Amino acid sequence: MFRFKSSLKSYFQIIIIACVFGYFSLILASLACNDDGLKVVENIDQDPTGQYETVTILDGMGNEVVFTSPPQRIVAYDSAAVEILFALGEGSRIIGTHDFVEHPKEANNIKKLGSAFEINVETILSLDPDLVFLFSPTFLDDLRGAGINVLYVPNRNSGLESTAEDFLMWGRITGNVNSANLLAQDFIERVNHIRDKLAELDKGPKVFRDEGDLWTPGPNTLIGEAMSLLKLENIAYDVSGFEQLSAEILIERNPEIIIKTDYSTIESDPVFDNVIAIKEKNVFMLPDSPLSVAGPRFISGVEELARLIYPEKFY
Amino acid sequence: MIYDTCTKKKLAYNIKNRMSYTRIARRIILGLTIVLVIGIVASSVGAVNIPLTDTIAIVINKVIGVRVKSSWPEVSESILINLRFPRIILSGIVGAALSISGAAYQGLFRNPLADPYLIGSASGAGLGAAIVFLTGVPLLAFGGGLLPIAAFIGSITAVTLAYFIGRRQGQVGISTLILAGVAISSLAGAITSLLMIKSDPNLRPLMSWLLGGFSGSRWMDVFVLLPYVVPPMVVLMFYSRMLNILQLNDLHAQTLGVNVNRTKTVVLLAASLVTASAVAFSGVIGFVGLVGPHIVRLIWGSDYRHLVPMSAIFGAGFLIVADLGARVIAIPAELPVGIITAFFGAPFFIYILKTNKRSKGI
Repeated sequence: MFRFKSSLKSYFQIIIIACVFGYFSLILASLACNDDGLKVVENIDQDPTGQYETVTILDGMGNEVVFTSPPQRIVAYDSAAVEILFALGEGSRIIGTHDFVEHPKEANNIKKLGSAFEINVETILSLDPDLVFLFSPTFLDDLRGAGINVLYVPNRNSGLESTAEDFLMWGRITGNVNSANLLAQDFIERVNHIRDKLAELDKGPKVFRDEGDLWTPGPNTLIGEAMSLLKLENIAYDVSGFEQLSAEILIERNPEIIIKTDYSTIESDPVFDNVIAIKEKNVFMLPDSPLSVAGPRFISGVEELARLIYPEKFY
Repeated sequence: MIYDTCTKKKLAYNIKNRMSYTRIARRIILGLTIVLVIGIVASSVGAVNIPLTDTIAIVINKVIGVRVKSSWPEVSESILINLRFPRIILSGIVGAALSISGAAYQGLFRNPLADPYLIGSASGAGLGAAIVFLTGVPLLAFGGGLLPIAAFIGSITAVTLAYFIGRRQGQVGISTLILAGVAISSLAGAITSLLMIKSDPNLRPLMSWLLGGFSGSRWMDVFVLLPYVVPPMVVLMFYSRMLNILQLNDLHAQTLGVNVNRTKTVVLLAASLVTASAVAFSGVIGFVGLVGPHIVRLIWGSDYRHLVPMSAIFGAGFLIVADLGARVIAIPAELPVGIITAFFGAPFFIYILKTNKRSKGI
């Protein structure tokens, strides 16, 4: 659940597509329970005495990573992990992260150790961390070989299901289960609130998301998931991951609403003058960031999208 | 008959026994007709299904104003007129431009590996585009045309630098020019990579631009591109006879009364202008400029008087077909056309190379 910073997506699209297949079953499972509202699988009322119990996390390789005490010096090489730790009030434990982490503001003071896909192993060693969190396994062996405690959890394709679980995971690791429970509960309540509000709605408007040059997310992305939660009909329903949609398809499928980033120049192109969304000036700006990170801000992004599209229901 | 004094071999090109210009003209007309047919067929294929009959009816209606068919869907007309036609025309022009400048560079450098990007035009253009994308200049400045302008400036700057570095005491040394171009290419490429690593905006549009493509092509691009591309292409056609003579060594060419230095400079500038304009509007599309002229050479021989125009025609047809692939292979998405040109061009080239009896002549 690294921050899906778009640039790199085009480099790593193949990897993402590969992951998509891997997680397909996971997505299906999450879709299946979407209808009944979210359920927290973890025992949410677990002991709040403050005593740190040994925590065992199953990492992305299927290995057990054991924590006997909360890590104090964390290198969190992932946007979502940084946001979650700060939301739990544990941000001060982070001593390093990657260049593309921008949220929250306090994260700007953390030492940046390279772009999201490069790690300077020597710099990490010199920081002497007791936990390195990775979303990609590339440097896993290097770091473990250097004797560093590494937790690798691959980036999520489902922001709704796994985000709350990730809150709880970080709560257990840092020994701050209470805050994590609160955060997860808040997250789930807000998701369910949106779902309840839209329960009677049969089908929302046809929507197109333009991230510049008609690059658009398909259903198996975080934004795609936000769209289906809001019952929006993504006109790029047959796109896998992020792809550049054909302009012809855009005209033919004729979206009623366009949600663009500031890289989009779609309105200035006269070819699309007859697209309903543009003719009726239903073009909204929504930046890339909250909806591309499976962290605590994700739900705020979804709510913002909800307010843009259903102003009469959400305010 | 002329013999090369160094090798004592008969030169492939025989000045006295000229190939008749009517034969060249006939080939050109035939080629243009084929490209036109390819263009019309290609415009009826795409992500949205438009029957060939509708396409032809719409073309006839637009060109001569006669309705041969009572009705067709309005969306079809809009897609054809506003999206597919400008795109197909632009890909044809760019294909012709890249292929003709490839032929010119190969003749100029007497090097079969020369391509339109050899002396830095592609990486210069890439750097220009990257600067625009990554410095956060609003992309809509100059009526949305900022990107091509920046790419054009980058390309021309790189080529000019290479030219002045490669010029020694008024002489344009071929190998110094290539080396200077390679050095400048590497430098511009490195700066582009550095910019991409050190900044964190949405790189996707830049990436698709760098890979080349026509997904954003509109009529406006066609009208802006034409005045930059056509005059230097005409110049190259007129200089095609000189390119034949440049195949001799400089001294021989000089003895034939050719101002070798001026010819080199004119051909170099014309080809670079063509390349820079094409790259500015299409991004970096590989393969067409390198291999297009070779395919023409293998099929029709290496007389530059028809190699130059036929390269242009072949390049146009080839890139229209390649872009058709880019449009339809991944429906509903688009692919960068550079992938298609290499993917289908390379096997085609190998086939021609293996089967053609002229292969020895390259």
